[in-house]
Amino acid sequence: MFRQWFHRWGSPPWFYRMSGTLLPWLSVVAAGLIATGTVWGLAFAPEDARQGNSFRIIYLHVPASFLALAGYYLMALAGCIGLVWRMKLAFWAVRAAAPIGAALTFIALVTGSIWGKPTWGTWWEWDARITSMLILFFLYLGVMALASAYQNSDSGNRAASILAIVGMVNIPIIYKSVDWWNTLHQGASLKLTSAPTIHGSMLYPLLIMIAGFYLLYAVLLLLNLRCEILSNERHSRWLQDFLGDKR
Amino acid sequence: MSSILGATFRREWQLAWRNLADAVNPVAFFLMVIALVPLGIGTDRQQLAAIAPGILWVAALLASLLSVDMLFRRDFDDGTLEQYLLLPGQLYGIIWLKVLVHWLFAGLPLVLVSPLLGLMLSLPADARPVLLLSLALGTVSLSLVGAIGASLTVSLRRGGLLIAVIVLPLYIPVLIFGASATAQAAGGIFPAGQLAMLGAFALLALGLAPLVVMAGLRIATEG
Amino acid sequence: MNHQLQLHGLRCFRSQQRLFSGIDLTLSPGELLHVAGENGSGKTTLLRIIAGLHRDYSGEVRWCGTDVRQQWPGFARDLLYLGHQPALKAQLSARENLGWYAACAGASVEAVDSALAALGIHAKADLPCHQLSAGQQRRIVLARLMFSRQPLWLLDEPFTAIDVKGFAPVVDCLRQHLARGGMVMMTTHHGMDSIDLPHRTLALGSPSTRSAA
Repeated sequence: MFRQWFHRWGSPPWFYRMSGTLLPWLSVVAAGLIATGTVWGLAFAPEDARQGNSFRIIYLHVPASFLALAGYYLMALAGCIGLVWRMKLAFWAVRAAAPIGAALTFIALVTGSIWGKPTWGTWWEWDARITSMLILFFLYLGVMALASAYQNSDSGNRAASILAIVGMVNIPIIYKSVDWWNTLHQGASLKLTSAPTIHGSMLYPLLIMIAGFYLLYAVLLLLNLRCEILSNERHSRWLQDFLGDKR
Repeated sequence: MSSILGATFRREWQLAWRNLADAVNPVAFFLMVIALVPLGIGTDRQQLAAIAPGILWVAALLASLLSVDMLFRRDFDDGTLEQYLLLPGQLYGIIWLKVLVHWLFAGLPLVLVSPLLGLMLSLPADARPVLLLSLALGTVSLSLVGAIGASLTVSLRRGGLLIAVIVLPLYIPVLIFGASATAQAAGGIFPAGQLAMLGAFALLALGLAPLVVMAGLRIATEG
Repeated sequence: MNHQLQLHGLRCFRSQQRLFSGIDLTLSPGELLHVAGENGSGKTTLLRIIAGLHRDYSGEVRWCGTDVRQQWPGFARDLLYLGHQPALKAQLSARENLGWYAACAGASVEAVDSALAALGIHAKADLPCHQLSAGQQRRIVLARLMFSRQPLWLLDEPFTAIDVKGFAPVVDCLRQHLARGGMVMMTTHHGMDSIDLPHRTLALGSPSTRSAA
């Protein structure tokens, strides 16, 4: 039973068809959640006692950073599946997830920097979270660079997956080290997320945004993955039949 | 089985001696980068002493990074790598020994020359033994993690900067604890905690890195 | 020795292109199989698949009845693979290079010496290999055959760049290996006429890839 299910998920034709039917629904729900969260958070949530209106950037920054990190784990997991079960689709998922994660990390860095300006007075501050995000950005870049450097895409897939897994194992070590480093050099500075003290009316739109971003990630990943399928399977029979049907 | 590993160690040792330039270059690089610092920043002794721990560590790290590409390149080019893969029982040991010899010839010289470079940057005398010790532990991890990067890029035409992009994020924890250990020692306190962390990283790398390297080398010979 | 190599329905992909399909053959002790075909027909890839260096294939490779993927260390011990590249360290001498291979094969120092003598490189055995000619280097590579006792030999173009002095001893060595019950699978550009050994041929690149006696 599990084998069947597993084989089906690994089959590009099935996945392409399934994702095609799923995509419109996911997009609508994602758009809805993000729209709701954005409007609520930007217009209707109360002002923060200390940071005024500038805190509103967290409605973009926090979901982006969550997904940036979760996306790396997802990419590494896909790499694992690809290596252990030799599933092409899993390898293509690694290639699809990398640029999305890198873009989200970049957004998290930029929004983090925008948040920092009114709070600390500078555009860039080497605090633990931002520094860890920057390193995560490097990890993504490494995976992307390695995958594209290989002429033989099979070898590139395997190499990138191994690197993603090594990165995944190192992320807790890196984050903890940077945290520790930060306490040495920053002392008591304003923490970027005073999470325990966040008020309900500020929290709900944030949760909605996070959920919306998860779905947005899924939409982007499916779109990218479908592109990988098209590009890799362009000579295959099933795709030619499928596209023939569409006409 | 152990005769194969013994023969491998002897062969790697002989090769390292006959390719001594591979050992001299990292040290020369280390020295030159340190020389660049006062040229770039100025000769104020206090200023130099303040940044010395970090700069020494960053320079040593970069020197180690540059040397790591050589680990498997010659073996890949002449076909020896394939022969290693045909010894699956000894592959872990072979990789371990290659990295060990590499560390002895390219990492250890960096360690030994570091107190002198520390002197040039006005690093307090108290900090120099700790600098030596932290680099000794740290370069072990750097060589092993660098080997991972080398194994993943050895079959590519232009390995070069790609290894840096892959490996530098993984180097960061070692850098953090090594530089902090040296800085703390410069302040007069013995940094037992940081050195323990460096030791832990080294042990972790010693155990796990060769496994990843094995996977990387298999990819390299497949293309 | 009951060693036997079997290939079942071997189909191979390289850079997403199918090289050959449906290879079925059995290689028994004492047999020499010549893999023939034009450039790019997959001769080298076939040998590399059996040697475990190329993993993108479907079908089975069986050694003594079991799939090699399930007994890899054991199979690797029974295997000798000489690929396109010489796998010699240019800065080391012939004696040093062969010394390592002898340690891997469990052979003695004397075996190395007699191999060097048989191939006529004894005089130059202590020079770094980069100072030797291509023909001499090829003889050093093939010297491994003299002291190796693995049952299965996979040789990819072993006679490339070989000179006259090396040819006869190597063919003799192959003959003795086959007489001991060993197996050889080899590719060669030269054609098998000059090699006076009984053999079968597997022709790749033809529509039906089946072994012919």
